[in-house]
Amino acid sequence: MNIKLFLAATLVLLALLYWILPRTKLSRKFKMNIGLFYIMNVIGIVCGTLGIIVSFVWPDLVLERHYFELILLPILFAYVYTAIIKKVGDAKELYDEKQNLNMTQAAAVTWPMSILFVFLLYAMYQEGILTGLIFFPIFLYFSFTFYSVSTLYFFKKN
Amino acid sequence: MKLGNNLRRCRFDKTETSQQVLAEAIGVTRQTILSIEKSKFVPSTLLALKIAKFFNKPVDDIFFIIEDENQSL
Repeated sequence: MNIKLFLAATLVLLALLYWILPRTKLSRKFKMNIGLFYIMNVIGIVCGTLGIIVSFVWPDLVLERHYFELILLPILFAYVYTAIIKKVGDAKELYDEKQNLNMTQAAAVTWPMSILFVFLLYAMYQEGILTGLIFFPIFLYFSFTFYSVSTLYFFKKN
Repeated sequence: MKLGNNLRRCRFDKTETSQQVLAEAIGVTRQTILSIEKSKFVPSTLLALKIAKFFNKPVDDIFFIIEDENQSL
């Protein structure tokens, strides 16, 4: 199956799920809990790490064969799932105030780290280790990984 | 200056309420209760009021200011 077609079909499916599911009885089963919070961050770490590895080992696959989007799909699924919970609207807040604080702390750490990472990518381009547009997926994967790791770290530590 | 609390003592005063039960009653995670008890996380006014309501006590029976940070709880 053409991978572009698969990706497009998945996006349409997700949009349909977002539209249909909150209107069904199934929506009662969509609940935010601590397990889901962990799972979502673990998905971010796994997809991000996998993406970084694949980008360095098979950069052509990532860019030309759309593995870039494919690797990000589980994260997209997680976001749509969260959006459905939000839309169902049982809980006014998806996360409690400590989780919100920890995600803010993670974002505050990820931002400067991603800037430093761009410098590292720049150095890799200067040295000829990286070529072409691969910087973008690597940057995105790094951000997802670092953000998810930081969120879990702050959540457990504080 | 930091915020101290008697949360743990309150939990055990009230027929050994677990962190999980308290967390579910006020709509937060167990990790949040744990962090408040250890004074690592300062709850919002709303959350402090919810906790006080759960234990049926005034807020300042549960939360208090520690002027000297070396003072033990």
